[in-house]
Amino acid sequence: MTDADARLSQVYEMLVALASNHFERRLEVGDGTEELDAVAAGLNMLAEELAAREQREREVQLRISQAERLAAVGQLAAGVAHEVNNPASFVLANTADVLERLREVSAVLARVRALFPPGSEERRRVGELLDRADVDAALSTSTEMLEESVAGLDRVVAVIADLHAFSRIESEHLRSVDVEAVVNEACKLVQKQASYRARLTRRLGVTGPVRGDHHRLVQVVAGLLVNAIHAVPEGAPEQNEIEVGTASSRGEVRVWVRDTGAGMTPEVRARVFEPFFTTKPTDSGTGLGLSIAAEIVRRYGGHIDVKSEPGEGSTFTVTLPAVDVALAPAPVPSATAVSRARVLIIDDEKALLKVFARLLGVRHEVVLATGGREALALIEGGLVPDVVLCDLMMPEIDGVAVHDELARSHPALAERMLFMSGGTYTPRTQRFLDQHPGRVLPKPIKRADLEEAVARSLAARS
Amino acid sequence: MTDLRPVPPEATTTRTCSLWVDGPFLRARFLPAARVELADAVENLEVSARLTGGEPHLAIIDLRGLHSQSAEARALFAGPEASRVSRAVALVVGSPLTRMIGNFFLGFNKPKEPTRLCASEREAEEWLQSLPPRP
Repeated sequence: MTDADARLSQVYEMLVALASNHFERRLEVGDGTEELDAVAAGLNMLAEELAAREQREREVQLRISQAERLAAVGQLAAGVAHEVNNPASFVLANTADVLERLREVSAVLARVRALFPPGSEERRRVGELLDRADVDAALSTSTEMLEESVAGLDRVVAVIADLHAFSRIESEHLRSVDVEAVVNEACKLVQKQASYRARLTRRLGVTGPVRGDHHRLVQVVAGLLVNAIHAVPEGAPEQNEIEVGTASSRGEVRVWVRDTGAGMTPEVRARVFEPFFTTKPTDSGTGLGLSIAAEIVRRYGGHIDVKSEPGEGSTFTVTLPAVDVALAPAPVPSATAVSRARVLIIDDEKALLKVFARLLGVRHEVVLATGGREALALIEGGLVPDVVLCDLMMPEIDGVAVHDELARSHPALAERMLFMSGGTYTPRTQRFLDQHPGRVLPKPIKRADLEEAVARSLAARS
Repeated sequence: MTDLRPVPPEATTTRTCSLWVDGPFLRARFLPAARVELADAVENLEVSARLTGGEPHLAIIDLRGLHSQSAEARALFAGPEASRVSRAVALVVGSPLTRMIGNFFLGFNKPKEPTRLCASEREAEEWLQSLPPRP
């Protein structure tokens, strides 16, 4: 057999291997002067391409199966959040209110004592009376207990807010986002935190915009950076590095965060995107950050990959589809000073109505309705609210139906509607929200958010 | 390679390639038996960016020394990083092997800039100069 025959035989074997989906084999390539060198090089490159495609397909399959699992968890989480929202709202508001009142009582007692001159008989008797009932200690302990309760409830609210991010059909309007601006803002947020542990370096390549929400993407990148910061030990910033970089190719934009930290075992690496999985102490995080980041990126048509080995650091790579045309930037509404307004609040949860009335009643005239039917009757009877705050999901006549009826009978009032939501929507409400962006307040709602929303609505009218 | 010009002394030579700017052209010539991986591609593009000062040039890439090029390197050469240094690319090929590599690049990676295989540096220059000037 001649040398050429032997090489032809190898080429034949390579073709058989490729036809059988075996892409590992490579052919020897000579100095490039013979046609067979070109054939061998071509087959090698083809094998490399096919192997890469097979790998990409495997990764896509893996991501699909992870996404399906996450979606199932997400639906469950959103459902739980919805159920917990209303009780959490009024428990938090009531507890905070009781705490405030208790502080007022303490202040009043101090003033009562001050009514009598020091050393006077009256002062002594008042002191004795209060001491006998151990009032000061009771007030102090109760205040402390309530402060702890409010802190605990704030944590519940934070977890619920995180769970909302899982809602697969959350109303969100996607726009063109400048990736470099996202990275720069995320770096700015963590710069100080990082400075105690590592050098934070940026390696920004040329990328086009991606489709998504600027703030959400900052949340994703900042979250990855914070995880990277936690992965490196404190005290030796010159010895550790956290690199954030961007690049693009084949219609995709990649953002990576690489650290020189402890790295992960294969067991940890396999679970990092699972909700509630965390290696941090329990008071340092909910274990939802990475799973939410993965969900946000998935919603924008992308994915997050991780490469990590113990002792060799980790690299998280966010891949998003690039968009060619810049979409309109998001409008930024602004709130202004507020005058007293008439606010109609519609919710089927009576405890919540009482809370909202107390929260808003200080600044505004509040009218309550326990359902859509009652609200429409009030309006038909002549009520003209400046703002209508309406729960979305209610039995019988829900928020969308109230809006539709007002749009027909009182179009100006329909424009004044804001919607409160526990985060779970039907396809119909989702369509509605898509048509009315920026009008949803996720429950539980804090006093400041409620007042801000009403102020914005009034400002928009004026 | 009968039309080979000598590499000028001011050229920058990386592990796999010599690069220099010659009037409107960015010239790159792969070293004999060069095997180009992603890290080499990154290095070559970084040198190119420095030489061109961020102004995309007409690029003449002489593949005739090239022995192999990884898929990742090809993808980088066809991406936006390459667009920063070149607005049109003439790939000079000679042997059957380099013709195959060039054809594979054009077929699989489809660069955005006008790109063409040429048999000599002269042909490359003529084609690049026949392109409409930059708007």
